[in-house]
Amino acid sequence: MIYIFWPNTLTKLRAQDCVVIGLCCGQSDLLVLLLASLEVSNKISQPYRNIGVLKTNGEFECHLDTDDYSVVMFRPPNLNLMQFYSLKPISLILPDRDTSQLFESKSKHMAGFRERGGPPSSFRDSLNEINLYHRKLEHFYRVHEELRLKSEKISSSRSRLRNWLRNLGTSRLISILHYLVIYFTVTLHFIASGVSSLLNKGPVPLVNVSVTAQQMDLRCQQVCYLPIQFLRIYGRKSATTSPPLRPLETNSSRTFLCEMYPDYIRFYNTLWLVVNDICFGLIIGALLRDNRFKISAAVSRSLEEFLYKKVRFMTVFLGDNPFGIKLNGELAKFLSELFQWIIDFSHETYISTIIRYPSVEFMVDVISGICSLFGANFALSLIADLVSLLSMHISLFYFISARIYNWQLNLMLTLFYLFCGKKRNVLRKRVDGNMFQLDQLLMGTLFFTVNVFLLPTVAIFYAFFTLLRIVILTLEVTLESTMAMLNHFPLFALLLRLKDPRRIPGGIYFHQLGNDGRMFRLENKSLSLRSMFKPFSALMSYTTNTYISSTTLARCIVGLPILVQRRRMYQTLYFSLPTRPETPRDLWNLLKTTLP
Amino acid sequence: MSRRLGMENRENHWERLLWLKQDYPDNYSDPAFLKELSEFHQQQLLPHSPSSYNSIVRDFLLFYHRVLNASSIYVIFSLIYYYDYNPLQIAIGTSLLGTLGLVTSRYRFVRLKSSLIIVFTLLNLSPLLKSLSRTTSSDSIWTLSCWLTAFYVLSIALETTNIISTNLLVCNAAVLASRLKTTTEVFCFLLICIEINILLPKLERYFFSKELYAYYAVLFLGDHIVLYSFVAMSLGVPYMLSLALFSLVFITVLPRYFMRWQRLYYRGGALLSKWDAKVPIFN
Repeated sequence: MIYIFWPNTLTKLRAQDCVVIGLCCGQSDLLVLLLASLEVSNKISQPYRNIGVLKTNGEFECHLDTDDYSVVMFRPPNLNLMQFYSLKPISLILPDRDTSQLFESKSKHMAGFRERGGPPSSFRDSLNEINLYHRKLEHFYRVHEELRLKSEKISSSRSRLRNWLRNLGTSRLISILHYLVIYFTVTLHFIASGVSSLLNKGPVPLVNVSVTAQQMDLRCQQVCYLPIQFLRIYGRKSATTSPPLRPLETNSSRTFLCEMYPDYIRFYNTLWLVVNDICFGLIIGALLRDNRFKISAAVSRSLEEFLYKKVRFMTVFLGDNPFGIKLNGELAKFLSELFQWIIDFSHETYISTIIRYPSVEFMVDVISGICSLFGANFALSLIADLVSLLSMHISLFYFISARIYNWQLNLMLTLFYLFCGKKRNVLRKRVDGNMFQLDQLLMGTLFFTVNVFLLPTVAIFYAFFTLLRIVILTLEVTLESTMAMLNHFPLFALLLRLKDPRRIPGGIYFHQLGNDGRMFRLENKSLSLRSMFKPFSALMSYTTNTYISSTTLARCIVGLPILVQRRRMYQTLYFSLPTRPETPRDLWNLLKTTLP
Repeated sequence: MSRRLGMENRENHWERLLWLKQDYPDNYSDPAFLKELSEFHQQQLLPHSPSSYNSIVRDFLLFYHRVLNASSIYVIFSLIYYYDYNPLQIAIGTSLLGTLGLVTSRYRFVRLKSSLIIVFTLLNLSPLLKSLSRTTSSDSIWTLSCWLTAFYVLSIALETTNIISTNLLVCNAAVLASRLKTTTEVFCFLLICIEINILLPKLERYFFSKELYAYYAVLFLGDHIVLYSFVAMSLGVPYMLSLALFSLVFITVLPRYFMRWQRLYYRGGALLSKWDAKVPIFN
């Protein structure tokens, strides 16, 4: 079976019969280049060939040896507009970040191709040729100058103008500017990579602790990567990290032709998000500045209320038989006083200073300034850090009560084994029967009874502080999710999909025309929303696993702390950044090659 | 053909073990199984001898005695809680008697170190136990104690080892102790409970196993005198008499019913448990 790929620009019927001139593509397929008058057919030379004749009544008379062929109509993609066909969905995730296999598009219309049993690479080659349709045509006209139509001559003169402009680039002024830009870029890259490695250094890197540090790290990595992306898209010689682009004219090119297009999308997505972020920042900063007195008063009042007064009130309340539940008076009083003491201490030492009206006003000022300068994300990250700093005493309560509760549960489990005359065998990891001495039994049982009666008291303190902790965690997670959205939303890709879906291909499919199974139309499938939001859905599922899952509930019930590995969590969103940034020296070497 | 030859020549008896590779077909049924089954049916139809009745009465008597011992917790508790007896005197009295009993039997149930540890633990924990469930209402405590006693009786009826019964008893005593007024009372109450319910049964079992029935009878009578006099004192003589009658019925009449039930309705026992399907034990 031979496929004849027919551009849909050549379907209009002419006044007289036309010769169909084509070119071999792939292994055995044919690409129709143009229709010409009958007398032209003996003028053309190899590798172009006469495929057949298109009659005036729309009938196609094939001049091939075989009769086993199908015609596939396609819309020639305009490479200058970055349109192309692709067998696989293009990846918005960098290859070294992509851990899962991208789904293959297998439409039912592909069945014909699978039946043929040809290697998929041959079809990929055909697709490459289709993508290059306009260049092939240009090449044909260059060989057969006399066949060129008027309109196409104009476009060639336009390209001459472009060449002239390109030559202008070699002038001295431009080259000085070029040097200046390169020095500036390398210096910026040096600073940014330094800051980034500083933030990631140490046994407990700052990025794991602070959201602000994480945000700074993200921006630094973006600054480091942008010049490399830029070079990959616009550089005359390609960057080392990607395989070099072959000249588009080579017929045997087996590399994916439109390699730099995903880079283009990622590059502009990043730029757009940064600009967006700063726009948001300007708006929010202005709003904050205008209403700072009202905002600071409200924030100061509510922080005092919720971080100190309410918590203290609840702690006192728990110490005094809350809700009519009869707790052990002595233990409840002890725990209540312990926590009250910590509340008072932390309030005296730092919280009261921070949440006083003047300092809150100062902070609102600072945040609005940072907002306008560096974008809304910096302000959000500062707020998130402030929240975790101010709620430190609550986290402390949570960890203390969780520890006590967990210890007590473990102790009770062991004593319960003793109660049943059993003992944990650590060597075989099972529970065996054991003969205990009378004194062991008596002591164990007495302690068990004591613990049973003390458990409700500990549990109610633990439950209360867990609840508080969950409220604060929810606040932090909301802030961080907003930041993740602002930092990594695939805005550019989404808008491209709206504007021109052919620029972000997500595979192809064949549409059958007519009933005889010899006419198809090649259609572009645009990238699905799901694959665009894949990193986000990964983050969502990770967040749900961390916060709202049965394992988390089980951990809560037995008093194990809820652990959040923030670094691992947001790592999924760094999909458009390489795992290891380039060194300034690499960048310098790379930039040097672009010098005239 | 070859299998049949193998069956004739084999020397090993069939064993009911899955992991053993045996030269028998899968659907093989041992002749011993059918023989034992018919013997079991024959045995069930036979009238039971008076000797088996006596042994059942003895078992009932022992159980009755344990329950009586267990209820002595409540006797002690009521004496301290309602009748304001001096717990110290009772504790010293029972301790002396206990020591005497230990010396008479020349049997070291409890080593000196253990008893010291127990006493000091009790001393340490008495204030804690006193305040442990102070805020819990008395009704809850009585209910809890009642359930613990029920489980205790169940455990002495079912359990061969006495670990769980001992633990349940100590638990019950600790729960009740929180109702007492002073630390001394708590300490004495726990000590008395442990002596009466843990040391005394051991001593009794020792006498019983050594066939020192005279000593055993003394202890048995002593128990009865204390308990029945307490019932007479607190509830009145009619209650005491009805309790005695009930006990008598329990010891003499109930074994007859038990035998009848065993003969007519009981399914199980040694034979069936030997041939019944079993769950494999791993590890």
